[in-house]
Amino acid sequence: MTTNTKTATRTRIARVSSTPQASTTPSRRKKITLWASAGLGILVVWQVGFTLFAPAYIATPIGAILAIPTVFADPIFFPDVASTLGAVFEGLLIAIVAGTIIGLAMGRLPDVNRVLGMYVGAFYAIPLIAIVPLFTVWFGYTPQARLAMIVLEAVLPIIYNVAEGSRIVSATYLDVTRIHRVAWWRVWTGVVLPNALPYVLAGLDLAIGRALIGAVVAEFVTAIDGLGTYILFNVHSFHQNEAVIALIVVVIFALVIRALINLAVRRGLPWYQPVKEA
Amino acid sequence: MPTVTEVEPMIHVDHLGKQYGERTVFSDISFDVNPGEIVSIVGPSGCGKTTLLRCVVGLMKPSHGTVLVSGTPVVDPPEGVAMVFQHFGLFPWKTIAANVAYGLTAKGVSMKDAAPRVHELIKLVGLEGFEKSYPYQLSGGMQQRAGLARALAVEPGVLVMDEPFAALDAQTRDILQLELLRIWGTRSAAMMFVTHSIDEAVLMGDRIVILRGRPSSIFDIVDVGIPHPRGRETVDTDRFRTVRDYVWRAVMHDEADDTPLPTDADAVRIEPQSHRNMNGHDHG
Amino acid sequence: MNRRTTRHRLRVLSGYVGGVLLGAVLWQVIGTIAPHEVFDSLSDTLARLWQIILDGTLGTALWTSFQTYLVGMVFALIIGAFGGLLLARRQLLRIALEPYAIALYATPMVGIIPFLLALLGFGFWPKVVVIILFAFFPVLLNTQRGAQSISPELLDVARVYRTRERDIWRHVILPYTLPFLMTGVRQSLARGLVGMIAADFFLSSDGLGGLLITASERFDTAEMLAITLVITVIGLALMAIGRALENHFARWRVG
Repeated sequence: MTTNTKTATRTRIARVSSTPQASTTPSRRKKITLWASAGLGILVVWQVGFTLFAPAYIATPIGAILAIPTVFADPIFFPDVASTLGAVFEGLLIAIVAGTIIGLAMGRLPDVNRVLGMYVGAFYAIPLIAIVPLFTVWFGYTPQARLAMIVLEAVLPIIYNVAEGSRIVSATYLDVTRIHRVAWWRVWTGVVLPNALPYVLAGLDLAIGRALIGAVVAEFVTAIDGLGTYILFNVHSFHQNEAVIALIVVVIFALVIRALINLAVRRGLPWYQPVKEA
Repeated sequence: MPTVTEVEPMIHVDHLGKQYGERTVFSDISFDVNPGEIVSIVGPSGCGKTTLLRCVVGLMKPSHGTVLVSGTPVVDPPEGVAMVFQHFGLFPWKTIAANVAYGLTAKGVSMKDAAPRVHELIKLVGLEGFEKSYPYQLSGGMQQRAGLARALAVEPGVLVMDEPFAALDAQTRDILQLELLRIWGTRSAAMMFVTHSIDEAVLMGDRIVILRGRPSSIFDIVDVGIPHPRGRETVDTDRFRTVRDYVWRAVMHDEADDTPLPTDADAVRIEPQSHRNMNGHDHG
Repeated sequence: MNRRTTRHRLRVLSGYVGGVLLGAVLWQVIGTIAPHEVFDSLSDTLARLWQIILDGTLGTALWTSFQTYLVGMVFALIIGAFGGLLLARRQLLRIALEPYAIALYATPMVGIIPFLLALLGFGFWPKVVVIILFAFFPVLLNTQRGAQSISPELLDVARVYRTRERDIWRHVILPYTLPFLMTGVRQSLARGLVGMIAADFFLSSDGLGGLLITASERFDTAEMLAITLVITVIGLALMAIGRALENHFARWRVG
């Protein structure tokens, strides 16, 4: 009896402890097989489950694939894609510039931080989509309301990260500039700005997802042309499969833009080491 | 032959004191650093060595007293002073070559015009082939070599080192100490070398300023009296051991302890004249 | 207390007070100048807030929203914690699901709401599902990263002392993972709130979000501002709770 328990205990210990050692990465081929089978599994469950238990207008994988030609032939689809993604792109650019400037000012000038800090903190903590109704009152049911929403969503993580990042410019860097009697503007352009760049990128990483949420919510509320409206309209008119394709386009856009940023960083900023997002 | 007192000091520290609010870090510190001389500053951790150094180079305002560098009072960091930092302070977004050139390019010199001197210094510190590397790709020892090259690039009359090898492993530290002595031998800069390592203070310094007490003040200034060039074998000489033991007891002596402070101070005393002779490295 | 720190503290304090006052005065002035349907003054907003507190509108909406939020968060926490632990300890599952998790994380969850509406209709539970969808991911991700980052050395220590598996979980894996899980909870609290407002907007229009929508339809700017103020306070309170939870459970973790 005692011996039995002992053996059992030993094997159980061995199982838990060996896990980290066993976590050597499997081969690429094995990984791809795993991904493919998991993906197939998800699709089959989705297809079979919804075919059996849901109304016919609910989207299924086969339905969505069959809907692709319809969606691409739809004359309003590509203008809608361009409208939403263009606005997100424009909003992100505005947010990068504005967020970097405000973030730098907050990070380096304590008085600015004392006044603005709590407002940025408050806006960062609340669900900004609550502001959409107010924006519809100010901007009307227009693309400007959507752009404002995108900028507001995207600018906050950038401000927050840049402010945090530039606040902790290594004291040694600043000592180096002082020992070398460097002009103040060179300190900003040559040290503070490049030092903040990884934080801009960390903020941007968060900003992309938030900007897309802002765009879709604004479109849901205002019903202006765009992918969000395309999704809403098609779901409401029982064309869910078409709507799924539009949603996938949004996801692909998010993934592609992140991949592009990663690529640009690796090519353009060989010194870059990612920072933890604030 | 000139005696030490006749030379105009590169750094003249006069009754320097620093307070943070009620707390006095150090007080009444006076010493000189002569041209071509290495002065080590040693003391227990937390005694304000780095604060003293920052006051000397004008990165920090002292509460009392004055510092003259080349005869001019220090308010902000003066021209002709370079510094090497404990954590290197290399800009991660600049290549090694651009970091070494920083003191020049930050004043508007183009990278191209700076290139010959940058090349010469990178060669001097033994970093050939790493010009285009980024700091994160280099080991700590190599990064500090780059930090040294950056400091030397501005051809400073005064070089201050803030525990430059404290962040490195023991082996790298041993190598870089001798490297620094070799490189310094090719320059005419006065050097102030802050360290908490007593061995390092003795190996590097022509003279050692020993800080102790709370608030700290100068306990003694010791002439090391070991001629240049120094090498690995220096640490095996009797003189090295004598000075090291004296400094060790002076630094480690516990206030609360009743044992008397080192009374064999005479053992390390040598005549300035004989120092010059032993030195054989005339800076006059 | 020396003079320098006193002066510094005064300056910090005056910065905060000045910031609040500046914001309040700006709000009041702009609200007074601008037409009522565009922007309303601070005093009007506070008056309207008092009104909806007194007539019970706010209380009813708060209670409705709070119920869905609480139930949603509990489910999100359970799914996130167990899912995270499972993924951390089962490497094959983790590798198999990784690309789909990344894709799901990149999906703006609001985009799924119309589908949920078609599938589940209006009511309490569809809203809960929205909140779960918004909130479970950070808990899952942080739990998984935490549980996975236990150093083999710690597990070796447990093994050297011949600890039983149950005790390894109790004494090593769970205490080590808890701070990471709490970081996830902090992030989830905020995302769940976004989900709650979105659910109020696009599913059955009640709760705080519903109040906002109806107020905007009436161009009642003062009420919209008042509710936004309430949501801000809730958001800040949740963030403070999240920080406190994280700090409490992360006492041993440096940085």
